Amino acid sequence: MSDIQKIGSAGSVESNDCLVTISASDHLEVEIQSIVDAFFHDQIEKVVLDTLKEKGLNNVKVSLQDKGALDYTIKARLLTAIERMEAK
Amino acid sequence: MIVKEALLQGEKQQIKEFLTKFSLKMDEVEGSLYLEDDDKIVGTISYLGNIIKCLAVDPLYQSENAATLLINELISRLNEKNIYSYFVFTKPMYQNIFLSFGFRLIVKDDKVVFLEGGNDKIEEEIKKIKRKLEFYLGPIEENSDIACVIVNANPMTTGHEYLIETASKNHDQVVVFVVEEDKSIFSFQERLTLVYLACKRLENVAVIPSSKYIVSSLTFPSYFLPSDSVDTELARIDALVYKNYFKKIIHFKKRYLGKETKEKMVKYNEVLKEELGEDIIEVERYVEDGVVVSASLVRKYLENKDLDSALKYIPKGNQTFFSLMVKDKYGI
Repeated sequence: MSDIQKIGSAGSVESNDCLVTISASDHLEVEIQSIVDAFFHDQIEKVVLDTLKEKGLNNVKVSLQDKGALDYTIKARLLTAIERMEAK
Repeated sequence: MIVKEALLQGEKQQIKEFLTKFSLKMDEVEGSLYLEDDDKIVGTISYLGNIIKCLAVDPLYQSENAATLLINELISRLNEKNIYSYFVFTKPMYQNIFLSFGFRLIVKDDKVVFLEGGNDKIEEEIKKIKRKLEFYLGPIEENSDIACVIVNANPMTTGHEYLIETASKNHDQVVVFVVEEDKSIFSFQERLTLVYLACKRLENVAVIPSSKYIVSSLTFPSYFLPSDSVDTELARIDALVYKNYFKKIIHFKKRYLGKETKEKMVKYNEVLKEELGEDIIEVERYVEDGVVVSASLVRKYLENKDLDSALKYIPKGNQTFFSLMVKDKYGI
């Protein structure tokens, strides 16, 4: 069964980058996998939530695989993923 | 170093030769990428549907992030094809490489690790299946008397019907999973429809697609295993996924199997019984007028354009639809 899902993805799993996948959902869910999780989990989550708020998105599932991306990388990747999702 | 897609026959041949250096066989693939340096292949990766396979990197380049380049490129190509969830079967020694790319472990034994990456998570997907089943069968609790049958049904015969009926008599709720693959002679949609039609009269039976987590011999990559252990490993992985996820989440009490006659499938059932023990119920083959009913028997009749003989082994509720369906396929 392949129901076409609203989904977008951007980034890579190279060092200093992150792979963001965002899909429509019935509630807000953010999932973070990071090599610097112990230090920056909260910071990464904040960037994601702030960006989603800026775009007015409440019901999405974001999963982020981070390889030490800086804040603005995360934000840029997320914004691209959102645009790709909305283009569908 | 640059990642390229293998489009020409020559490139594919070179990848094949490259893989033999790692004692890997080229498996059936949909597409391959390779990493080139100085006009030489130094790494490769392939895919088939949503399965990533045949990853190999020249030892001289292993410290240069070559695998990352290949995996990244492949993931973005899969995304372009609207595939956001993918699987890897590999040797246990490579488990950590994939874990570092954010892949999640599903099951492992001493020869094979089965990982998934991307958006969908096995637990959540199976919980979704459970919710769907509750819609058909009513609430499923931990102590529910529920059993399952997994069929390929290529095509559905009276033998399958008998197996499902037996399960339906013995249990309160029965789930029939139809293997979700389009490589059989009858397409997945056709097979699902036939099973659905045949089971409609059984009120405690729900028919649903098997989900991509029920591994079948058609998708299981075997290129990294010695050929004599392929079937056993496949059965073992199947059993582990069933035990750790399907049984745990949907609370299945029994899994029904039809007794097999072909050597390969007998071995498969043996391994399932070994791993799952008392959860397996093996039902004797259905015999009609002294003939052991099987899907291959029906297919043989169809190949000889003998529709009347084939219809003898097709469930009553299916016969009209079935005759229409094979009309084009076999020109009967």
